[in-house]
Amino acid sequence: MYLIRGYAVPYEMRMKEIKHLLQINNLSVSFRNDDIVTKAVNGISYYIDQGEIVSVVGESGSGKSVSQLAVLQLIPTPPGSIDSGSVTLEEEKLHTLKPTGPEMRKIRGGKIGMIFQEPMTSLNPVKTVGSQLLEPIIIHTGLNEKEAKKQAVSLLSQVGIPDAEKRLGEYPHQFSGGMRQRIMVAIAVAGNPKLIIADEPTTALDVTTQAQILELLKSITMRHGTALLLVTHNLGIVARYAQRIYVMYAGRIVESGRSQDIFAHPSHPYTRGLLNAIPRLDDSKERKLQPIDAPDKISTHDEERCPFLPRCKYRCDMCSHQGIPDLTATAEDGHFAACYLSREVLDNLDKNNCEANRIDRRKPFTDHILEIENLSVHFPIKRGILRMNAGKLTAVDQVSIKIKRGETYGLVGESGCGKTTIATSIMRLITDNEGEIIFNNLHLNRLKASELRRQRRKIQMIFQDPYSSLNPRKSAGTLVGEPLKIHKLVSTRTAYESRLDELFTLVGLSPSLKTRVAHEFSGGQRQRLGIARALASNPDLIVCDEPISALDVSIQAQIINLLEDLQQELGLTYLFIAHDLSVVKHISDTITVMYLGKIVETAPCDELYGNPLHPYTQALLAAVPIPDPMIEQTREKIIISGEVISLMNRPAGCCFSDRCPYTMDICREQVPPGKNYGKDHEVACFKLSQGMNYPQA
Amino acid sequence: MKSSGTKPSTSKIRKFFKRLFARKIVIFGAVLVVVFVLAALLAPYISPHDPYKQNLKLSFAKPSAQHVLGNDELGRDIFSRIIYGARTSLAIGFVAVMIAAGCGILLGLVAGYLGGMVNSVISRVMDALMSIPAIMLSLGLGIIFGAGMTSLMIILGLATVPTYTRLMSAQVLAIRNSDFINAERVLGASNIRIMFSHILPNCLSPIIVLFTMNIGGTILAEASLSFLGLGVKAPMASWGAMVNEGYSRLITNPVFALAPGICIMLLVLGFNILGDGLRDVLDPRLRGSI
Repeated sequence: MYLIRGYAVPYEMRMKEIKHLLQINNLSVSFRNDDIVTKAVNGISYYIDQGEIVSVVGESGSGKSVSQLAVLQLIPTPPGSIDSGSVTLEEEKLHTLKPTGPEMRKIRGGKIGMIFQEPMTSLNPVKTVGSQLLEPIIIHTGLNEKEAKKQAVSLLSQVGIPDAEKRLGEYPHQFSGGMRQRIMVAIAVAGNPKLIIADEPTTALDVTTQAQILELLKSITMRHGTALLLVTHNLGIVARYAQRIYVMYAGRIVESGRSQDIFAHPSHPYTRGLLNAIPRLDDSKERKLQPIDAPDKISTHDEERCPFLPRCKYRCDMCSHQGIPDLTATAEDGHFAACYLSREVLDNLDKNNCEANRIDRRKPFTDHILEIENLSVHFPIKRGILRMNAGKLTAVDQVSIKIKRGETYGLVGESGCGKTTIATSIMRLITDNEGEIIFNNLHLNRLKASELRRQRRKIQMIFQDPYSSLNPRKSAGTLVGEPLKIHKLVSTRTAYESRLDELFTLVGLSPSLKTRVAHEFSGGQRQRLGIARALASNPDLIVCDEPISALDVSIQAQIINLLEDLQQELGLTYLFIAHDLSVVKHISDTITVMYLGKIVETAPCDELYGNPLHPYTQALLAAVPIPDPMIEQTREKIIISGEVISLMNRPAGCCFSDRCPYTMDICREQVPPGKNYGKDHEVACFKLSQGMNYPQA
Repeated sequence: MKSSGTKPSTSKIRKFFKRLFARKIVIFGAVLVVVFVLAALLAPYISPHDPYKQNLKLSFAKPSAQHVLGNDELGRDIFSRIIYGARTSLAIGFVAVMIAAGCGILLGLVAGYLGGMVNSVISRVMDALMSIPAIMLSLGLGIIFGAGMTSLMIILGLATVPTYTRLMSAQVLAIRNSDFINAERVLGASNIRIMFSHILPNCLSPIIVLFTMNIGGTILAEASLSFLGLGVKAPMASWGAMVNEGYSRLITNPVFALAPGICIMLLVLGFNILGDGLRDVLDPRLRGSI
């Protein structure tokens, strides 16, 4: 697919002969806060060649972003400081330049372009897009304003913004998230950079938009011969785009090499762990995810030992007696791993404990626990000084869902599809809705307040953000015990304490942690607390609203496994809401795909992934990258145009009609009804119901 | 459970003080406040003379070894009166701000949490109160309640209620829809429980800061009202009243008015510095910068 240059020459020789575009040697960065010095980056070295796509992969706190900021001298000092290291861009030694000096300013935005994670905050809201785009062009290319404007228009059309000339005069808020990230790409290329550093450029975007932006980045860098450094935590993206990879853990590079080598033969326990921990779109459903252990406190590890030691499942005596392992060469050219154990040893250890990796998916389904009939939720739109109602915004439109007792029901869709609104309606946090919500034969929407409060203990919820969903002032025990007190489920102090211990153990936390406050826990532990709190009142149904999307990849597997184990043990029913199709595939029995408040497709899990019928489902599935470069190369990429539009401008007919590649006249006029295509597979699409087939993904 | 629970909290308190006193100026403020509070508490033991005892022979006496700051019109010892005046000022300051904070927190909590009509009514009433200049409001209320220490406390308290209500309702609005409050609702907690057990503790940091700063302001206001003649009744010592009595003789006997004036200044300064320091420690947005 792309050319991998120069690999015929042995790696060591190449190192001597070829001058790299950017070369970083022994970079260390630390932060000082309240007399505590944290080493964020610990003597890392890496390089990027002309026109290459290199990826730095790591979880939060691995130092992947900090090291890029250090290269650009953007570390705030104090509290941060660059302790050692050299940064060479072409012939220029960046580390010797003054951070605020004119030479460094020429580098930033000139030779190195930058794209940050959050498109909503990286553009100045009070200046027009044009002036923000003209600025780097004028500064770095020396064109006059007229020429620069011409250049700006051409850049905007290059990044796929129609009506470029007119839109230059608009302000950032008039653009959607994906459009803003396109503008960021245009700004990054404006100074004709040799290198673009993109720090999690698509993490804040929807799946289909993510695919568009990454494709754009790739094509634009290829056209200009620009090198691209892609900082991300998403292994799928890495597999799809990167030529070389650096895996970072705790401020060190633990593995580096060509993309296909690392995915085919991961040689560091951390990389192996990550690849086993993430659910994949091409997984069989029976594979049990293997999470990476997380000790109570990662920070307690020994400075002199391998940083991954406390979490490593392969660790042996040697690791705890020797110092930090250096990067050593493996069988392939240019593939290095910082581990004392060779790949063969790791493989052998894996073979010995591969049992118990499958899970039994057979669940006895009986009656329906929750039925949602024709649920519609409208929000009033208020305008003017008098806040008069100026119309309504339909967030959920005529949705019907039936959840069987004991199953996991997946609800998938991009932002604005109404999935969270459905959850909050079930939880009665929004009470203004049409339609019926029937739980255990009770019409929840018709219950009196006191009766509803009593019923609440039977439906519980797990929230997306484990940081904001726990009261920061309460101890862990009080948080988990809250439902016991509210519903008076225990009568004595000892019963209360023993129930707490039971709940803590159930979610895999030590009961001795009861007295700690929430901020003393890690993200994964906090989510466990959230689960324990939800379980405290013995619920029948748990609504999980994106329960793992705020967690690190290695922790996600733990929570997924915990949810699955709890389901088997306690016979719970889950409504699992997510935007990540691989996770949903892994955990769900039945899946509903939503778009702009409408259900577009509902099917049992295997049927949906094996035979997706709605064009939107197909596009969604195609947009999810699979963490395997070999598969990615052969995959056909259907990239649908446009973005999820605002609910305010929902098309009159089928809600997907303005993005669908197969739109017909009828689609723009009428709303397609849901129709059953056998095997409980229901799709709302005219093209299908008229018996026409279109190419499958 | 108790014993293990207190351990981290003592270290937390130590850490809190360490951060609070990281800036030297805050120590200065704290020392000022502590000195005045001690003086007020220990007034009967440390004042060299009876502040109410008149001795007309010593009327307008210059400072002497016996009477450090001299004597006033009625021959009362000024130094002792200042020490007793600290009692009045601090008592009025504390109680008035307690009244203000108590009412303000409650109103703000209700307004912010319930929103809608309740919020509109409370907010508009508070806006109306705020639109009247504080001193005018105090004068008006003073006429209704009459002079005296108790009414001073009520007057000064009521005049500052809107500040607390606004701050509190803004705080509540900010966390009312946060996930952990939603989680409480989902668990089936009643509104009262959510308001008092979950929202209130999370809103207190800025209130504490405002509280400290307001004590200074209230002492100043008490002085102004006493100066205007709406303050404490005659024999009682109050700094404002002392300034009032002394200002006409500012040229002939400057100590008479300056001594209580400087005390007011120092105490207000102390509380303001302390409040500033507290804000730096308690406000998470400023946390990284110190």
